[in-house]
Amino acid sequence: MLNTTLQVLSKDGAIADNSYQIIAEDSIVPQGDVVVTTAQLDQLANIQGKKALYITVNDSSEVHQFPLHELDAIFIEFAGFGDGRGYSFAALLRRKGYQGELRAVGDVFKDVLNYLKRSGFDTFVVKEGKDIQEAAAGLQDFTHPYQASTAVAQASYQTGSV
Amino acid sequence: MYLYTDFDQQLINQRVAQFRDQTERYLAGKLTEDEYRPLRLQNGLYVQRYAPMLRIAVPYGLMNTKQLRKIAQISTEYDRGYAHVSTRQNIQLNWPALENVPDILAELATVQMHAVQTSGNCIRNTTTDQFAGVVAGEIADPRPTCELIRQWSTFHPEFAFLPRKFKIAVSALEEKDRAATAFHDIGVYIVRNEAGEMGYKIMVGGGLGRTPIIGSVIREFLPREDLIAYLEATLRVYNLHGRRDNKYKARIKILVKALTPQVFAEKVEAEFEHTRDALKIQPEILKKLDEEFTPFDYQDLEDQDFTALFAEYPKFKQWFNVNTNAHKVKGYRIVTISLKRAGVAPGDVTTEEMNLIADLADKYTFGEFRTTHEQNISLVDVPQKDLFELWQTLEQHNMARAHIGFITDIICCPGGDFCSLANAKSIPISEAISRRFDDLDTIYNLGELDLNISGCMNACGHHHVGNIGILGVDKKGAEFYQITLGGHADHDASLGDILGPSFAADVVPDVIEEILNTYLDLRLEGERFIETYRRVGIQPFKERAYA
Repeated sequence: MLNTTLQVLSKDGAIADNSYQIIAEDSIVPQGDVVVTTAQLDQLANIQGKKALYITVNDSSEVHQFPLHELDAIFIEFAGFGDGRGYSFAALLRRKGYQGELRAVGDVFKDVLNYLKRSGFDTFVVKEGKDIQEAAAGLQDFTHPYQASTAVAQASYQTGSV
Repeated sequence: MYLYTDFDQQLINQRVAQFRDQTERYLAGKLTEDEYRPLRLQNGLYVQRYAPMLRIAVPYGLMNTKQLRKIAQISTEYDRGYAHVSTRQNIQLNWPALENVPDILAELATVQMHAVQTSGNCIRNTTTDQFAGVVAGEIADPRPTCELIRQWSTFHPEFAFLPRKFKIAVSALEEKDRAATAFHDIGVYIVRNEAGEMGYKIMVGGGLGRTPIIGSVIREFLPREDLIAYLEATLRVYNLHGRRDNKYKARIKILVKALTPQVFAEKVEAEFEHTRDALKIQPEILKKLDEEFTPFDYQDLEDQDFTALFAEYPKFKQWFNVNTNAHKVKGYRIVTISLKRAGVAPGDVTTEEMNLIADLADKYTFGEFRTTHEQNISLVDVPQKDLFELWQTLEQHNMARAHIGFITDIICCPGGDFCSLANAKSIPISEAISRRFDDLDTIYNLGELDLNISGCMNACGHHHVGNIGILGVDKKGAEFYQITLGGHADHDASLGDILGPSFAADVVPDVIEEILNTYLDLRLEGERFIETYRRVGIQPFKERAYA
């Protein structure tokens, strides 16, 4: 699952260290910010710092009820970048009213950042072996999109504005 | 046609820069093969058997002469002096060098062209009737709808990595479907409701390939302003639920079949409830889109009387009858130029021919023309008074082959000569059939007949919907050909039935001839091949083909 040593890129281009820790095999909840899996949701109350949930393609919010109002962040895993379910997961979570941080993790690199940003993701864990500074430029690949999405409420073809 | 605003141009220029960067990083080893592959495919770049192939988008088959001249120039500077019109109305270059592709895309961007989403698991080029907007009887011009879908689907952030490719076609004509709409992931039919308002009937889950299937209607009437909201809902259901464990089961048709069309429709409707308000399109935007396709300033011309010319020039008469269609404006005619002849792949067009077609389109029309699903090119706005002169020029350049819609107007994929997926070659089969039926009287006697050839199950040559379909198969390392009969791509669509065991390449023309002789023996007065087939069934054909 999550490589906590990797840095985190924000949609505004800022780069910061990751603050979230995972619950190790000893099941002891670490101090500070913690990310849990869906199986560890019962531990949420024991987290002292910020609370995050890690979801995979098996954890669609269509079938699972998540305590969205308790979460500071949701990490959506892209096991392979060709599997685009995470983009729709993001759309569904935003529609359910989730306003916290959405973080893309897994097979994430420069060339998918623009799509992720527009789909409502706030932060990105660029995968190991890629230069995060170089990747950050991918956020600016396109200036204006055609479509409405979480990041852009009105499409150009809806409003006529260009 | 829709002309780019600064907004569109910026988007395409940025795409060129993005792809240049991706290609440079790939060549520098910073992007792996597995990372680069989906990225290049979404830019229409395949790596084929001998060389890369670049598929250039022609949105709904509509092009202008400036664009064609640019393709012609690129085909000499970067390729081998020809290009290829595909069954999705796109244009393909067969021999570009990978490192030159960013430069080719930059050249294309100067004439408002690109290769965006011409491959990959994303929403592909939307297609429609090649005579859109100029043929009589349309409920409405389908091009504004196509353009709207183009804008919505281009770089849609949520649907760039779907389970599999996704194709949409739009049909606006009740009597004829030239876009094989029923065989698309989504078929959008322009209709009017009882109040006379324009809207859409939505069909979903059609397709060819390994599992050929006719789509199912999931909505009888969708108000025009809700199209994008409904498409977005449909794509979201597919993106969430389409199979990703097996690429042969990943198309939306498999999902629709597994859930049943009714359950699939319920899921879409539930999602549509959420998207409907946010994605509704304002009436002034629809009006603006319609205005992009305002009819040309046609001259006030009379229909011509060709009796005398027909008597003097029987070849002109044949060409007029076979290669031209009625135009909705009096005094005009639609002309189709055949890109089929023995010796080259169906749909291939040389640099010289492209330049000539551009010159003719400028001289006789408003400088716009269409690429067709049958892999030809149509000049859609020719004044009838210029037809004879146009025919003479085409005749002089061996481009007046009068066989549109007949047996030698073959739809054919590139096959094993170029494509790395193919099981068998398709071009030599097309060639052999063209040579066998090279006499026009014989061709005309056979009547309207679609013969489609695919080199493998992926069905790029649409063999399932050919009246006669030929499919290349691999039999213990040897190339064999399976024949299907009775396929039809029009509104009364049907899939072909398999005749029986496959044949070796060298006997295919004999088998086709026997099938056609069977038809000639059995047909009733005025009956087309498909009609005879539907009346008598496959048995008589089978008996003689395997006799």
